[in-house]
Amino acid sequence: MELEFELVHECNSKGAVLLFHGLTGSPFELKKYARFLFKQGYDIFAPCLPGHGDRAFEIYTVKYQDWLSFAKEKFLNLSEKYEDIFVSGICLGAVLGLSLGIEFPKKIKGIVPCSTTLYLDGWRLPWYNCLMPLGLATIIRFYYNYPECEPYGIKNEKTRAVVKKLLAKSEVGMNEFPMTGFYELLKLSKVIRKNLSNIEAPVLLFHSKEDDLTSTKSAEIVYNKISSKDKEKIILYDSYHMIFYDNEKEFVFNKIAEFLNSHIELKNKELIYA
Amino acid sequence: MLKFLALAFSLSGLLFVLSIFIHKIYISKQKDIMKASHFIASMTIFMGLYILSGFILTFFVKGIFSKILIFLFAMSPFIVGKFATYKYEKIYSLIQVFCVLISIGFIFYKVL
Repeated sequence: MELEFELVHECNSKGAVLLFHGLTGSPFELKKYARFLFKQGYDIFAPCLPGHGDRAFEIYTVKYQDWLSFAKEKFLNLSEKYEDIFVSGICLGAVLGLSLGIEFPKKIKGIVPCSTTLYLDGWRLPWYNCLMPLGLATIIRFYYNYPECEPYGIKNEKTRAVVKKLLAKSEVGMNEFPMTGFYELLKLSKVIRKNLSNIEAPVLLFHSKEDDLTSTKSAEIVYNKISSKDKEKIILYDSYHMIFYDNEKEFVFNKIAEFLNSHIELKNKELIYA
Repeated sequence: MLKFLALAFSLSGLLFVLSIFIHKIYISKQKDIMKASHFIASMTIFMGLYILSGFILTFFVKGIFSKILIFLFAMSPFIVGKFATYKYEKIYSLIQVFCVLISIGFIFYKVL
Protein backbone atom coordinates (compact mmCIF):
# COMPACT_ATOMS: atom_id res chain seq x y z
CA MET A 1 0.00 0.00 0.00
CA GLU A 2 1.52 3.31 -1.14
CA LEU A 3 1.38 5.64 1.83
CA GLU A 4 3.65 8.54 0.97
CA PHE A 5 2.17 11.47 -0.89
CA GLU A 6 2.82 14.86 -2.43
CA LEU A 7 0.33 17.70 -2.84
CA VAL A 8 1.71 20.14 -5.38
CA HIS A 9 0.07 23.25 -6.85
CA GLU A 10 0.25 23.63 -10.59
CA CYS A 11 1.59 27.15 -10.19
CA ASN A 12 2.25 29.88 -7.62
CA SER A 13 2.78 27.99 -4.42
CA LYS A 14 3.91 29.94 -1.38
CA GLY A 15 6.67 27.44 -0.65
CA ALA A 16 7.24 23.82 0.26
CA VAL A 17 6.51 22.03 3.50
CA LEU A 18 8.34 18.79 4.20
CA LEU A 19 6.42 16.62 6.65
CA PHE A 20 7.70 13.63 8.60
CA HIS A 21 5.49 11.11 10.37
CA GLY A 22 6.11 9.48 13.74
CA LEU A 23 7.73 6.25 14.89
CA THR A 24 5.76 3.19 13.67
CA GLY A 25 3.32 5.56 11.97
CA SER A 26 2.96 6.47 8.31
CA PRO A 27 2.30 9.57 6.18
CA PHE A 28 -1.39 8.72 6.60
CA GLU A 29 -1.31 10.39 10.03
CA LEU A 30 -0.32 13.67 8.32
CA LYS A 31 -3.07 13.72 5.69
CA LYS A 32 -5.45 16.16 7.40
CA TYR A 33 -2.62 18.46 8.31
CA ALA A 34 -1.18 18.26 4.79
CA ARG A 35 -4.52 19.01 3.13
CA PHE A 36 -4.97 22.05 5.35
CA LEU A 37 -1.53 23.43 4.47
CA PHE A 38 -2.11 22.68 0.79
CA LYS A 39 -5.27 24.79 0.91
CA GLN A 40 -3.20 27.57 2.43
CA GLY A 41 -1.10 27.57 -0.73
CA TYR A 42 1.87 25.39 0.17
CA ASP A 43 3.23 22.39 -1.68
CA ILE A 44 3.38 19.39 0.60
CA PHE A 45 5.80 16.50 0.63
CA ALA A 46 5.20 13.63 3.05
CA PRO A 47 7.64 10.78 2.48
CA CYS A 48 7.51 7.45 4.26
CA LEU A 49 10.50 6.93 6.56
CA PRO A 50 12.78 3.89 6.27
CA GLY A 51 11.43 0.97 8.29
CA HIS A 52 7.82 2.12 7.89
CA GLY A 53 4.92 1.66 5.47
CA ASP A 54 5.64 -0.97 2.83
CA ARG A 55 9.00 -1.66 4.43
CA ALA A 56 7.75 -1.99 8.01
CA PHE A 57 9.75 -5.21 8.49
CA GLU A 58 12.91 -3.07 8.23
CA ILE A 59 12.07 -1.36 11.52
CA TYR A 60 14.09 -4.12 13.21
CA THR A 61 17.22 -3.38 11.23
CA VAL A 62 16.92 0.33 10.48
CA LYS A 63 19.46 2.65 12.12
CA TYR A 64 18.86 6.24 13.14
CA GLN A 65 21.54 7.25 10.62
CA ASP A 66 19.24 5.90 7.89
CA TRP A 67 16.48 8.24 9.05
CA LEU A 68 18.90 11.16 9.17
CA SER A 69 20.29 10.58 5.68
CA PHE A 70 16.78 10.00 4.31
CA ALA A 71 15.54 13.32 5.74
CA LYS A 72 18.63 15.12 4.47
CA GLU A 73 18.22 13.67 0.98
CA LYS A 74 14.55 14.69 0.82
CA PHE A 75 15.40 18.21 1.97
CA LEU A 76 18.24 18.61 -0.55
CA ASN A 77 15.99 17.40 -3.36
CA LEU A 78 13.40 19.99 -2.41
CA SER A 79 15.95 22.78 -2.04
CA GLU A 80 16.79 22.40 -5.73
CA LYS A 81 13.22 23.37 -6.62
CA TYR A 82 12.09 25.62 -3.78
CA GLU A 83 13.57 28.64 -2.12
CA ASP A 84 11.29 28.62 0.91
CA ILE A 85 11.14 25.28 2.67
CA PHE A 86 9.47 24.66 6.01
CA VAL A 87 9.93 21.40 7.90
CA SER A 88 7.41 19.88 10.26
CA GLY A 89 6.72 16.53 11.84
CA ILE A 90 5.29 14.65 14.74
CA CYS A 91 7.08 12.44 17.29
CA LEU A 92 10.14 11.00 15.51
CA GLY A 93 9.27 13.30 12.60
CA ALA A 94 9.66 16.33 14.88
CA VAL A 95 13.12 15.11 15.90
CA LEU A 96 14.04 14.69 12.22
CA GLY A 97 12.79 18.22 11.54
CA LEU A 98 15.13 19.47 14.26
CA SER A 99 17.99 17.44 12.76
CA LEU A 100 17.51 19.33 9.48
CA GLY A 101 17.52 22.57 11.45
CA ILE A 102 20.89 21.55 12.87
CA GLU A 103 22.29 20.50 9.50
CA PHE A 104 20.97 23.49 7.51
CA PRO A 105 20.60 26.38 9.96
CA LYS A 106 20.46 29.04 7.21
CA LYS A 107 18.51 27.18 4.55
CA ILE A 108 15.36 26.29 6.45
CA LYS A 109 12.62 28.89 6.55
CA GLY A 110 11.00 27.50 9.67
CA ILE A 111 10.55 24.37 11.76
CA VAL A 112 7.33 23.16 13.37
CA PRO A 113 8.06 20.20 15.68
CA CYS A 114 4.92 18.65 17.17
CA SER A 115 4.97 16.22 20.13
CA THR A 116 8.77 16.14 19.94
CA THR A 117 9.94 12.80 21.37
CA LEU A 118 13.35 13.18 22.97
CA TYR A 119 12.37 11.10 26.02
CA LEU A 120 9.89 8.28 26.50
CA ASP A 121 8.34 9.47 29.72
CA GLY A 122 4.64 9.84 28.98
CA TRP A 123 1.93 8.81 31.41
CA ARG A 124 0.75 5.86 29.29
CA LEU A 125 4.00 3.96 29.68
CA PRO A 126 3.82 1.20 32.31
CA TRP A 127 5.61 1.21 35.68
CA TYR A 128 8.36 -1.01 34.33
CA ASN A 129 9.27 1.70 31.83
CA CYS A 130 12.14 2.50 34.24
CA LEU A 131 13.69 -0.83 33.15
CA MET A 132 13.71 0.26 29.53
CA PRO A 133 17.30 1.64 29.42
CA LEU A 134 18.53 -1.70 30.76
CA GLY A 135 16.47 -3.69 28.26
CA LEU A 136 17.46 -1.45 25.36
CA ALA A 137 21.18 -1.79 26.04
CA THR A 138 21.06 -5.59 26.01
CA ILE A 139 19.82 -8.51 23.91
CA ILE A 140 16.35 -8.05 25.47
CA ARG A 141 15.57 -5.26 23.00
CA PHE A 142 15.06 -7.91 20.31
CA TYR A 143 12.56 -9.85 22.43
CA TYR A 144 9.96 -7.23 22.91
CA ASN A 145 7.50 -5.00 21.07
CA TYR A 146 5.63 -2.51 23.17
CA PRO A 147 1.92 -2.89 22.30
CA GLU A 148 0.06 0.07 20.86
CA CYS A 149 -2.87 0.36 23.25
CA GLU A 150 -5.53 2.69 24.64
CA PRO A 151 -5.64 5.65 24.28
CA TYR A 152 -3.60 5.39 21.04
CA GLY A 153 -2.32 8.93 21.59
CA ILE A 154 -5.78 10.39 21.04
CA LYS A 155 -8.02 12.02 23.62
CA ASN A 156 -11.04 12.38 21.35
CA GLU A 157 -12.99 9.15 21.81
CA LYS A 158 -14.66 9.07 18.38
CA THR A 159 -11.37 9.52 16.54
CA ARG A 160 -9.74 6.98 18.84
CA ALA A 161 -12.31 4.35 17.90
CA VAL A 162 -11.65 4.94 14.19
CA VAL A 163 -7.87 4.75 14.64
CA LYS A 164 -8.27 1.58 16.70
CA LYS A 165 -10.13 -0.08 13.82
CA LEU A 166 -7.56 1.04 11.26
CA LEU A 167 -4.66 -0.11 13.41
CA ALA A 168 -6.24 -3.51 13.89
CA LYS A 169 -5.95 -3.94 10.12
CA SER A 170 -2.37 -2.52 10.26
CA GLU A 171 -3.39 -0.21 7.42
CA VAL A 172 -2.09 3.07 8.75
CA GLY A 173 0.84 2.00 10.85
CA MET A 174 2.10 -0.72 13.13
CA ASN A 175 0.06 -1.82 16.12
CA GLU A 176 3.14 -2.22 18.28
CA PHE A 177 6.36 -0.35 18.93
CA PRO A 178 9.44 -2.53 18.42
CA MET A 179 12.01 -1.85 21.12
CA THR A 180 14.68 -1.65 18.43
CA GLY A 181 12.78 1.35 17.04
CA PHE A 182 12.75 2.98 20.49
CA TYR A 183 16.46 2.18 20.81
CA GLU A 184 17.28 4.03 17.59
CA LEU A 185 14.94 6.92 18.44
CA LEU A 186 16.65 7.42 21.80
CA LYS A 187 20.09 7.27 20.20
CA LEU A 188 18.94 9.88 17.66
CA SER A 189 17.52 11.98 20.48
CA LYS A 190 20.92 11.96 22.24
CA VAL A 191 22.64 13.25 19.09
CA ILE A 192 20.01 15.94 18.56
CA ARG A 193 20.08 17.12 22.19
CA LYS A 194 23.82 17.70 21.94
CA ASN A 195 23.47 19.91 18.85
CA LEU A 196 20.26 21.84 19.48
CA SER A 197 22.16 25.10 19.86
CA ASN A 198 22.97 24.99 16.10
CA ILE A 199 19.33 25.65 15.26
CA GLU A 200 18.83 29.24 14.15
CA ALA A 201 15.69 28.98 12.04
CA PRO A 202 12.34 30.18 13.43
CA VAL A 203 10.71 27.43 15.49
CA LEU A 204 7.11 26.88 16.55
CA LEU A 205 6.79 24.03 19.05
CA PHE A 206 3.60 22.20 19.96
CA HIS A 207 3.30 19.78 22.85
CA SER A 208 0.39 18.44 24.85
CA LYS A 209 0.43 18.73 28.61
CA GLU A 210 -1.18 15.28 28.69
CA ASP A 211 0.98 13.68 26.00
CA ASP A 212 0.78 9.96 26.74
CA LEU A 213 4.11 9.02 25.14
CA THR A 214 6.46 11.87 25.95
CA SER A 215 6.15 14.61 28.55
CA THR A 216 6.56 18.34 27.93
CA LYS A 217 10.17 17.98 29.11
CA SER A 218 11.19 17.27 25.48
CA ALA A 219 9.61 20.50 24.20
CA GLU A 220 11.10 22.50 27.08
CA ILE A 221 14.60 21.23 26.34
CA VAL A 222 14.26 22.11 22.67
CA TYR A 223 12.84 25.54 23.46
CA ASN A 224 15.59 26.37 25.97
CA LYS A 225 18.54 25.05 23.97
CA ILE A 226 17.94 26.27 20.42
CA SER A 227 19.61 29.52 19.32
CA SER A 228 16.64 30.75 17.27
CA LYS A 229 15.60 34.27 18.18
CA ASP A 230 12.16 33.67 16.73
CA LYS A 231 10.78 30.79 18.78
CA GLU A 232 7.46 29.94 20.37
CA LYS A 233 6.26 27.00 22.45
CA ILE A 234 2.55 26.25 22.61
CA ILE A 235 1.27 23.83 25.23
CA LEU A 236 -2.03 22.12 24.47
CA TYR A 237 -4.41 21.17 27.25
CA ASP A 238 -7.03 19.06 25.52
CA SER A 239 -5.01 16.61 23.41
CA TYR A 240 -2.68 13.64 23.78
CA HIS A 241 0.25 12.70 21.54
CA MET A 242 -1.42 12.72 18.10
CA ILE A 243 -2.27 16.39 18.04
CA PHE A 244 -3.20 16.42 14.33
CA TYR A 245 -6.18 14.21 15.07
CA ASP A 246 -7.17 15.38 18.50
CA ASN A 247 -9.52 17.96 20.02
CA GLU A 248 -7.33 20.98 19.29
CA LYS A 249 -6.34 20.12 15.74
CA GLU A 250 -7.99 23.19 14.21
CA PHE A 251 -6.25 25.51 16.65
CA VAL A 252 -2.93 23.79 15.85
CA PHE A 253 -3.46 24.01 12.09
CA ASN A 254 -4.42 27.69 12.22
CA LYS A 255 -1.44 28.56 14.41
CA ILE A 256 0.90 26.75 12.02
CA ALA A 257 -0.62 28.49 8.99
CA GLU A 258 -0.17 31.84 10.78
CA PHE A 259 3.46 30.96 11.50
CA LEU A 260 4.22 29.91 7.92
CA ASN A 261 2.41 32.87 6.38
CA SER A 262 4.08 35.37 8.68
CA HIS A 263 7.50 34.12 7.63
CA ILE A 264 6.67 34.26 3.95
CA GLU A 265 5.27 37.78 4.39
CA LEU A 266 8.33 38.80 6.37
CA LYS A 267 10.49 37.76 3.46
CA ASN A 268 8.32 39.69 0.97
CA LYS A 269 8.52 42.81 3.12
CA GLU A 270 12.29 42.49 3.35
CA LEU A 271 12.45 42.24 -0.44
CA ILE A 272 10.31 45.37 -0.88
CA TYR A 273 12.50 47.35 1.54
CA ALA A 274 15.63 46.11 -0.21
CA MET B 1 28.48 -11.78 52.42
CA LEU B 2 30.57 -13.36 49.66
CA LYS B 3 28.48 -16.52 49.70
CA PHE B 4 25.24 -14.56 49.77
CA LEU B 5 26.34 -12.50 46.74
CA ALA B 6 27.52 -15.63 44.94
CA LEU B 7 24.14 -17.24 45.54
CA ALA B 8 22.25 -14.16 44.37
CA PHE B 9 24.47 -13.99 41.27
CA SER B 10 23.93 -17.67 40.45
CA LEU B 11 20.21 -17.64 41.13
CA SER B 12 19.47 -14.47 39.15
CA GLY B 13 21.68 -15.77 36.31
CA LEU B 14 19.78 -19.06 36.26
CA LEU B 15 16.43 -17.29 36.24
CA PHE B 16 17.64 -15.02 33.46
CA VAL B 17 18.71 -17.99 31.32
CA LEU B 18 15.50 -19.82 32.10
CA SER B 19 13.40 -16.82 31.14
CA ILE B 20 15.25 -16.57 27.80
CA PHE B 21 14.32 -20.20 27.07
CA ILE B 22 10.71 -19.76 28.17
CA HIS B 23 10.47 -16.65 26.02
CA LYS B 24 11.80 -18.46 22.96
CA ILE B 25 9.64 -21.54 23.44
CA TYR B 26 6.39 -20.11 24.74
CA ILE B 27 6.09 -16.35 25.30
CA SER B 28 7.20 -15.20 21.84
CA LYS B 29 4.30 -17.21 20.35
CA GLN B 30 1.74 -15.71 22.74
CA LYS B 31 -0.83 -13.35 21.31
CA ASP B 32 -1.44 -11.64 24.64
CA ILE B 33 1.12 -8.84 24.28
CA MET B 34 0.47 -7.48 27.78
CA LYS B 35 1.39 -10.84 29.29
CA ALA B 36 4.58 -10.83 27.23
CA SER B 37 5.31 -7.28 28.45
CA HIS B 38 5.17 -8.38 32.08
CA PHE B 39 7.30 -11.41 31.34
CA ILE B 40 9.98 -9.30 29.65
CA ALA B 41 9.91 -6.90 32.61
CA SER B 42 10.63 -9.84 34.94
CA MET B 43 13.41 -11.04 32.65
CA THR B 44 14.97 -7.56 32.77
CA ILE B 45 14.79 -7.58 36.58
CA PHE B 46 16.60 -10.96 36.73
CA MET B 47 19.24 -9.66 34.36
CA GLY B 48 19.57 -6.46 36.38
CA LEU B 49 20.11 -8.48 39.56
CA TYR B 50 22.68 -10.65 37.78
CA ILE B 51 24.60 -7.56 36.64
CA LEU B 52 24.36 -5.83 40.03
CA SER B 53 25.33 -8.83 42.15
CA GLY B 54 28.18 -9.65 39.74
CA PHE B 55 29.43 -6.09 39.94
CA ILE B 56 29.41 -6.09 43.76
CA LEU B 57 31.04 -9.54 43.81
CA THR B 58 34.13 -8.10 42.09
CA PHE B 59 34.86 -6.14 45.29
CA PHE B 60 34.63 -9.20 47.53
CA VAL B 61 36.23 -11.97 45.51
CA LYS B 62 39.98 -12.49 45.91
CA GLY B 63 42.54 -12.42 43.10
CA ILE B 64 42.83 -9.92 40.28
CA PHE B 65 42.13 -12.55 37.60
CA SER B 66 38.87 -13.58 39.27
CA LYS B 67 37.88 -9.95 39.76
CA ILE B 68 38.37 -9.15 36.06
CA LEU B 69 36.59 -12.31 34.95
CA ILE B 70 33.55 -11.75 37.17
CA PHE B 71 33.39 -8.12 36.10
CA LEU B 72 33.38 -9.19 32.44
CA PHE B 73 30.68 -11.79 33.14
CA ALA B 74 28.58 -9.17 34.93
CA MET B 75 28.97 -6.76 32.03
CA SER B 76 28.34 -9.47 29.40
CA PRO B 77 24.70 -8.42 28.77
CA PHE B 78 25.93 -4.95 27.76
CA ILE B 79 28.82 -6.33 25.70
CA VAL B 80 26.58 -8.83 23.88
CA GLY B 81 23.86 -6.18 23.51
CA LYS B 82 26.33 -3.77 21.94
CA PHE B 83 27.25 -6.16 19.13
CA ALA B 84 23.92 -7.98 18.72
CA THR B 85 21.97 -7.50 15.51
CA TYR B 86 18.43 -8.49 14.62
CA LYS B 87 19.66 -10.85 11.90
CA TYR B 88 21.89 -12.82 14.26
CA GLU B 89 19.75 -12.41 17.37
CA LYS B 90 19.53 -16.18 18.01
CA ILE B 91 23.30 -16.60 17.90
CA TYR B 92 23.81 -13.67 20.25
CA SER B 93 21.13 -15.06 22.59
CA LEU B 94 23.07 -18.33 22.70
CA ILE B 95 26.31 -16.47 23.41
CA GLN B 96 24.53 -14.66 26.25
CA VAL B 97 23.19 -17.92 27.68
CA PHE B 98 26.65 -19.53 27.55
CA CYS B 99 28.25 -16.50 29.22
CA VAL B 100 25.79 -16.70 32.10
CA LEU B 101 26.12 -20.48 32.49
CA ILE B 102 29.93 -20.35 32.44
CA SER B 103 29.88 -17.50 35.00
CA ILE B 104 27.67 -19.57 37.31
CA GLY B 105 30.05 -22.52 36.94
CA PHE B 106 32.99 -20.27 37.71
CA ILE B 107 31.34 -18.88 40.83
CA PHE B 108 30.50 -22.37 42.06
CA TYR B 109 34.09 -23.44 41.53
CA LYS B 110 35.59 -20.30 43.08
CA VAL B 111 33.23 -19.41 45.94
CA LEU B 112 30.57 -21.99 46.65
